[in-house]
Amino acid sequence: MTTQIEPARERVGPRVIETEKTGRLELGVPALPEPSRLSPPSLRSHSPIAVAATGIGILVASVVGIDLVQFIDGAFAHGTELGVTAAAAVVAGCGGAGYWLVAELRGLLRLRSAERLRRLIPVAVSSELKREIGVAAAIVARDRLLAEAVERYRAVLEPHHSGRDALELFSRFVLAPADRLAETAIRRAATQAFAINAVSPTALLDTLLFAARAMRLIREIAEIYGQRPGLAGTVHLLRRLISGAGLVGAVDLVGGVLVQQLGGAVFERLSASAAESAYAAQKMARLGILAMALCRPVDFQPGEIPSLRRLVSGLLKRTLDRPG
Amino acid sequence: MPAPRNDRRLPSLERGWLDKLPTLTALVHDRTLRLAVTGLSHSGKTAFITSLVHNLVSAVGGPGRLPFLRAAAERRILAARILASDDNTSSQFPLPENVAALAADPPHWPPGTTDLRQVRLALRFSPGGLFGRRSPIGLLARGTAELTIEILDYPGEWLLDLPLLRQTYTEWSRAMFNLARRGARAPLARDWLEFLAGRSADSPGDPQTALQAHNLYRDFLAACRTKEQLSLLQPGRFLNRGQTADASMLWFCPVPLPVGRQPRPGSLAALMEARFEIYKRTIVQPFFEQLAQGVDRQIVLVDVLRALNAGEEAFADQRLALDIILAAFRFGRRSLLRLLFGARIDRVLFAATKSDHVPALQRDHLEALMANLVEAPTLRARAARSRVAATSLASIRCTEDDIDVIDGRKVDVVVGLPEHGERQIRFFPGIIPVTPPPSGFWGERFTEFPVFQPPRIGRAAEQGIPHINLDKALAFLLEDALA
Repeated sequence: MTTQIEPARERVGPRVIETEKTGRLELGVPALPEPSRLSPPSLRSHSPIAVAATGIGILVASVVGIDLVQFIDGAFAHGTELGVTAAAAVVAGCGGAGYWLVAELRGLLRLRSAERLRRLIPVAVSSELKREIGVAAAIVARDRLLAEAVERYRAVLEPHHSGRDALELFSRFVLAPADRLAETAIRRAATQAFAINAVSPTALLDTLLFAARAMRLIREIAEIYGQRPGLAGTVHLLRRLISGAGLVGAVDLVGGVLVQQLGGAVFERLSASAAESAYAAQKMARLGILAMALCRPVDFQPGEIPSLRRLVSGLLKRTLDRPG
Repeated sequence: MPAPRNDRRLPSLERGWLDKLPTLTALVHDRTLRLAVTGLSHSGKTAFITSLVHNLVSAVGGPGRLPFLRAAAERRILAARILASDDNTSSQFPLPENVAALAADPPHWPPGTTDLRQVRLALRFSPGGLFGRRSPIGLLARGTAELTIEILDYPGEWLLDLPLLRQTYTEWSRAMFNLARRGARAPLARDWLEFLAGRSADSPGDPQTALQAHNLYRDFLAACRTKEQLSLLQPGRFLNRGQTADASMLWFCPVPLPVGRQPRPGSLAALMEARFEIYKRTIVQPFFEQLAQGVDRQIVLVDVLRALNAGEEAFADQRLALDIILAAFRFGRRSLLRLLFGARIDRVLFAATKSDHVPALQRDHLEALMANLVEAPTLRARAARSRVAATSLASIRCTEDDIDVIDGRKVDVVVGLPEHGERQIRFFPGIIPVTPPPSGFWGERFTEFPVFQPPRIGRAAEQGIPHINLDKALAFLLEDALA
């Protein structure tokens, strides 16, 4: 390999520049300022469906708006007091709906921010990466269980740390405790999936209860990573989960092997229904790991992915050890 | 030195005999690790040792300033204490004095090392992994473990004596003459060479003549260091005597000996040779034994920037000096068999020091240059299955990054307060090449390499000392011992 080196004469050589500034440098560990706002989402090309949905949305909003105006107008026709009451009711209703919309939008923006950081990591320059990690830290800090972890991360991050350094510290100080919380949530959900399958009288009820618990687990995990997804956020997450079908297939294969192994080692003394329940728990755990991968602002590094075997075996141990 | 926190967790003498028995965790994890801090003069050994020990003490119960050291980040370091030196031949490393120098107003650099000094630091920690608090084995084994880190500090010049152990007087003499007649050394060696030109090696061995020749040679070495910033200057004790009991054993120097000729008995050359051999036997050999025996880990500190700015010859000289010094150390993975036949160094870290003189964007360049500079020793260590890495670090960070415009170009600079100065300066270190530069790279020598005032630190141990990458260096050197 050859190295292109600028000729000595054209190169800016080392030099010392005097300044008028006096006084010592303050090299204490600084507290990082709180990012003032979330970065806007990246612009995307408009799809026909999005344009149509926007148009229909405007139509619905206009119809509702006109109806509301007519409603208030009609109320005033019956008397001022009734009109004021109607107007107040409409304002309250619109405020509630607006609040819900803003919450939905913020939830969606947080999800997108985490996804943007994941995309940025392989290509970002140092300062850009540090800024994005700062945004991700601000998002995760909203979880009260992780606020302290974020503070610790901010306390150890120094200006001389590069973007990669910041990423490693963020993984070590913030994401590791978040992962542990998520794993606890997964274990809890898997235990409940085990129980649901064991006591459910019909397959349909079993499926419905499993789906409801899975939905709650996804939202719980998203909240652990500071995302608090609303309806739109949850739909977005589910869409991403479904699009990860290839990954699901891979995990299914692992799950199959696991069940075979467990069947040989543990379940020879248990009934077939207990084995099915264990499989349901394993499916729930697998779903939880996928949700973790989606909600984490930083992709799993080798060795960080929670082991399905450990999650399920820990769950079985707890289930079997439980007295009574 | 303030008392480390959490000393209450250390074993108490009031406990019963049962409690004094080592726990399973202690049996598995307790260990003494000898760290060789290797570096030429002014490479920053004293600053490194001071910062290392003070920051490890500051990491008790929290990450302190060492977030990349996993045991500190996970708050597994429970207590730290400085132990008394167990070696009669070396004195205690003056850690309290060095910390006081950095905490003074204005702060100043600790004085350079003039003799052998030892520091022993005991870290009580809670193991992670298999013996961790969360694992079943950890719950069963319980207890904490203790890692004792032993570090030796010494004048960097002395390292250059290690290669003498493999050389005869005639070999060394010839090599030194070849060096002295070349490049930047030649004009500085003129007085010494002229003195010897008037005296044959076979002339009678007069002690007075030997002393005069020695003084001229020593002055030549000192000029090489101060004027040309050269590194390969032997013997090292000529520039830093330490506590050498008998100064007369140093009164020798190279003399011109034809190839294949041995010094004639009773001649000047024979007198010089006899003193050279005594020097090797009584000074160099014991120092080497202290330094290299039982070493588990090694960090090699190199002031690459100063050599880079001092010019092509100083840079090449530093590289040569490093190569011949490192040839004296034995690398290899730890194994029971090797422990029986003498321990080996299983992890080596090459570190370019004073990286706070370089803005953040160029620190990767400095690291790459460091790695390229020590390519030969790295290959040797890897062949012996040692783990090797290169990094750039600042044991004590004195600057901040900023941007300036020089000759119409926007460049990254560092800002700091110069030692003994009142106004801050902005320093642009030039473009750091990632490989040893070719001849076309070298411009004019830059001799005004700034010395920045160290930051004023708090006397409280938990505040630590600001640094760059010290924690990463410690993670490489100690992570497995604190696992």
